[in-house]
Amino acid sequence: MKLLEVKNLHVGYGELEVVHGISFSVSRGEIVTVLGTNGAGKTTTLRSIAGLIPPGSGSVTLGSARIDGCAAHDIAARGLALVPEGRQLFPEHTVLENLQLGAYQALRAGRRAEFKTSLAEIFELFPRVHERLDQPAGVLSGGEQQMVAIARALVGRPQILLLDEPSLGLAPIVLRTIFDTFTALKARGLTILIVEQMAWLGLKISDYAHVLENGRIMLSGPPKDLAANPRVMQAYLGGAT
Amino acid sequence: MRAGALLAICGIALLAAIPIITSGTYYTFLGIIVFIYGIVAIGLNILSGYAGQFSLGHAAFMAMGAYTTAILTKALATIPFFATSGLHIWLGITCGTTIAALSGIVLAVAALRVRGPYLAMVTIAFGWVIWKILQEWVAVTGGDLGISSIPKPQVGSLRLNTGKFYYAVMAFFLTALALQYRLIYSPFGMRLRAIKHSEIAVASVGIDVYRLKVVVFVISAAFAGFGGTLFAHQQNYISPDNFQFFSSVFFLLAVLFGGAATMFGPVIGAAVLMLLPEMLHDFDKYRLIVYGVLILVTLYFLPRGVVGLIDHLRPRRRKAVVPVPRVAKEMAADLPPTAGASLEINGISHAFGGLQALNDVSLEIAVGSVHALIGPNGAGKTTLINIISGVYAADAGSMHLDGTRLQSDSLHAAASRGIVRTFQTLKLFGNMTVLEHVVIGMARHSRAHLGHMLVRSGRDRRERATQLAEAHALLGLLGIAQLAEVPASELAYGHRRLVEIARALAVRPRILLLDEPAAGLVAEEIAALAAVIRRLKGIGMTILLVEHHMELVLNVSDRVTVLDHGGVIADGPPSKVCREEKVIAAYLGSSREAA
Repeated sequence: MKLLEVKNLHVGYGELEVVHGISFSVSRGEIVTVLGTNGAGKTTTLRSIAGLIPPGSGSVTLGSARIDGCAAHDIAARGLALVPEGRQLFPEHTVLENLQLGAYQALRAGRRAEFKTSLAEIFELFPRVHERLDQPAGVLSGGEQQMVAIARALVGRPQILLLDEPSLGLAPIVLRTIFDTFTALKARGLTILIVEQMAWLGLKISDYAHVLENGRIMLSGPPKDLAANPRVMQAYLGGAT
Repeated sequence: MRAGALLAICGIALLAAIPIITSGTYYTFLGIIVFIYGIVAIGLNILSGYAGQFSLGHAAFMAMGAYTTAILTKALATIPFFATSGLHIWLGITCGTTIAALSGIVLAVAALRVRGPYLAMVTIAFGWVIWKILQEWVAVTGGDLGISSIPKPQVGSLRLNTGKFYYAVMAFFLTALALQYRLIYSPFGMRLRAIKHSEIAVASVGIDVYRLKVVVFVISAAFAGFGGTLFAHQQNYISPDNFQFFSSVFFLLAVLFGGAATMFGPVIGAAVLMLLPEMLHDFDKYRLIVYGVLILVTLYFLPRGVVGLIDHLRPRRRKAVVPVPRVAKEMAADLPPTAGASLEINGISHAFGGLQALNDVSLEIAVGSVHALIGPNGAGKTTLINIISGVYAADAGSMHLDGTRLQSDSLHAAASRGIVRTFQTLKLFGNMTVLEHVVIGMARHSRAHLGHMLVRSGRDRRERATQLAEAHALLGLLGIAQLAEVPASELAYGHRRLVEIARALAVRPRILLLDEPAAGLVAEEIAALAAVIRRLKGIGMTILLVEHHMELVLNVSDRVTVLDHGGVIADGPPSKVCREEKVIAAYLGSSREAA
């Protein structure tokens, strides 16, 4: 069953169109990865789905409802959470405060119990986040910050998680922990859409992948097929070096 | 630009026609005041709009100019030589402008240590003090009564009445506009626009930001002082009332209302805000309320000012998207050989509060080598780069550049010694183009000063041509030549990183500090980056590389130092370091898949 469906999406900034009519879908409980070089339009696509940039034309459907043209907070309330590129935590606020902001909708509705349950689940996933709960997010290491960013997206209990380059600036040893989490989250029934440049990481854990080039999807398929493609090998898997 | 030139000629013709087509001197008089306010607003726009340094004390500079010329010309007018030649007027205008500029230096040196709202506070206080002095120093300024019968402007023995003075002031006003244009689009203008976005990044290419800000402040004060002198001679009477706090607010409003950091915004703002109250005469006692509400509403609906609105409404053709070539193809760019430097780091320690970020770190970076610094997130790598590049002073330890003790007390000092860095958390100049970033990087090697740039001297022209050529070559080297004219804010993450590197290379570093240059690049781009790094090494540059992409580290580095918890846990050739147990446990993880 399709949870997120993007049809013929065009997005641009002012006079410059970056994404030229792409279509793809993510089924419930699936991990889908979008690969692409810099300037291919990956971040633009994610931001547009999350409602941060209004799409020029095309449709985005979440569940049974059209969400294109909705405000970002509306889309978040419908169960779509974005972990932005570069994490974007509130550095002066403690980890707990960052998480509380992530659970804004639930807390505002007075569902404290739900927040508690979410927290407990997150601590199970990231014990490190539990340890650092009272520290300002800004003093955490890069890996810990990424965990908090993911946790902040998860406390809102989304149906689908969008991640923009989760590997950015992380030490090799942390990368594995983070990507293992995605598999664990999938096992819990979460649907995940990842945009990633470290292709081998993304391909390893995903059910389906797309290659975005110059604002168009050039290739799609199961990771195994893509990994065998010589073009993908050279550009994303480092076959050339 | 044909249409633009035509529009300019029509505009000038229209302005010139005003005294002829209107009867009486009322509109001519208003025109003169609008030109004068326009000149002051242009000066403030350079400072606040373009350079982002807010001043709420510009009326005080106007007062400096006005009072100087008033006092001086009145005294000289009794001397027959001046009375017949009219030179006292022009001497007064020159002295007034100079005094305003000099007081600009005094204020700037004190005020520019602080930023943002604090700077605005200091300028408010300055304006207040000057206003008070004008009121209280009765012997010189005439106190609240002010100075009256200030000599009328004259050229030779010809007195300029309102109609004639209009054309003189109009000429000054057009010159001010032209100067603003020359200034803003000169290399100097690029630098001053850049400090609005990131002072740290400007300092990182070897520019003394403080000095630059003082110069900009003085230029701005000179415009205001000049406007003040014209004002005095136009009005024949000045008093402290003319230069109250509200006048300073007026000019800042004019800039914001018309459109900050636009060529014509401040002028349009000054004209509208000046003429509006005149047109509201019918409202009489409600005038100020209507005025206030109008301003509020306009600012609310036009956050980018009137010019911003015009820009927004103007129909534009959609630009075709330039497909982005994947790999650097223009590697043929000529790079001059570089005298790399060695850097010896001895026992550096640094703590933030209770956190020991670096603890007795020593390493030796050999001349012309690529030295990699790796370690887990939070190990202290960026802190070390910050210390080497002069952002922080180390708590303990010493550094030697080519054997001489290094006292890097500031980013720009380090950069001028040839130690140039990039930033892990990108620090680019907002919507300035990629090319402008690189040209700003060349400031340290620029021989043309502001005077050359304003008159577009031969030296300035030649230098700009070489700089552009060099900048394009550098962008070609990094494989982003096709992005030269794109605003940095529109670039993808990985390309922004490459712009940082290009800007750093423009400084012609002897030691280049790269803080995670490959973050956000795909494999193919990393391969291209590796080629660039090898090429830089080939011309003799020393490189310190902080990076997580182990493949890149292994590919390009001669030596690797591993940091963990602020201390060195391993050091040696890459192949050896990667096999060390400690490094695997702390950083790489159990399998080598991560490369």
